[in-house]
Amino acid sequence: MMTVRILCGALALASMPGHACEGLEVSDARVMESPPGASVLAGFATLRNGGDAPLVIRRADSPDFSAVEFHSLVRRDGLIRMTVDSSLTVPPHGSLAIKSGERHLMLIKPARDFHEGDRITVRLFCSTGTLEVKMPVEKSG
Amino acid sequence: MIAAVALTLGMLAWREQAERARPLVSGSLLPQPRPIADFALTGDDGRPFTRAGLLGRWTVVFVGYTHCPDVCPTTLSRLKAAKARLDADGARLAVLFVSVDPERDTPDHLGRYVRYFDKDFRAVTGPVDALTALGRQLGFVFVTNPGAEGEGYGIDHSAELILLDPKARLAGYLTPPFQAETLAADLGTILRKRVAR
Repeated sequence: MMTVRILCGALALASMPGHACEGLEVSDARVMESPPGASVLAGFATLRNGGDAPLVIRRADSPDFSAVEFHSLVRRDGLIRMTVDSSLTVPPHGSLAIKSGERHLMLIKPARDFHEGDRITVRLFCSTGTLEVKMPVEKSG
Repeated sequence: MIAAVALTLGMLAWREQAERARPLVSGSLLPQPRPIADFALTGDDGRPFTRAGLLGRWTVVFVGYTHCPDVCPTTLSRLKAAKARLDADGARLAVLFVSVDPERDTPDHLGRYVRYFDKDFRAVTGPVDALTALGRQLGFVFVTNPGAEGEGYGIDHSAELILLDPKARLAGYLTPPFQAETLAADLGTILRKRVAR
């Protein structure tokens, strides 16, 4: 039985019927507004897995950007190091927080400048299909 | 009676000392500020920026680059919020963004970038060797990370805020993670400090 949840409010979550990432819920999705001309934006969200098996997101893309990457930040010896993760794993009946200072969706080369109130579409690809997420752009801080 | 007066004077002296030595919530001050040698960078107005540009007020230095998606914009936003909480005192504080990505961060681009956060923020950059030399003096490091940003590169960099006193001396550091409230408290503390000759 496949469940597709539509969450309301600030988060609008559209799904592709029949091809969704089963058990995956996305909340608190947002993209941080950056200065005009910025070459990269950071996206944040909380991913929940309602299923019994780990949920692996193998890649992401966006019609609004040339590429989307999964990045982690590691602090070591006072240095912040940014690493690229090849996938994201949400544990069974658990969640993965993509949050500032720890990890982000790296949105590379925007098609245009985005401002507070705009919405960015990001597609998450997992083994059972694709989930399209609308991420509102917010002022950072 | 004499003992009481002595005690009161002692308390006053202690309070003054405590005010001057008040510890920072999220960082530390050097026991003695450390003078820094002159340097030659370029300001976001395209003109030379040297040590003299730091004289006369407290400066908070943050090291980064504009292709940095999370840490740099977040820190600059928090600095803006902290400065706003300091009201008029905030005007006595300079915020300087040091870009360690001179290849991509032109002065003009840097100016637009920092002033998106606050019209009074300033930015500088310069040749990598000049930045490395300044880093040695101020205690920051940066390393190019070819894999970190899609088709380009990322730069791993120090995330501390570096505090420089009005005599352009290294005074201390604030350490992340930064919150507007604690930043404002710490910046308020340093602005109240008297700077010894």
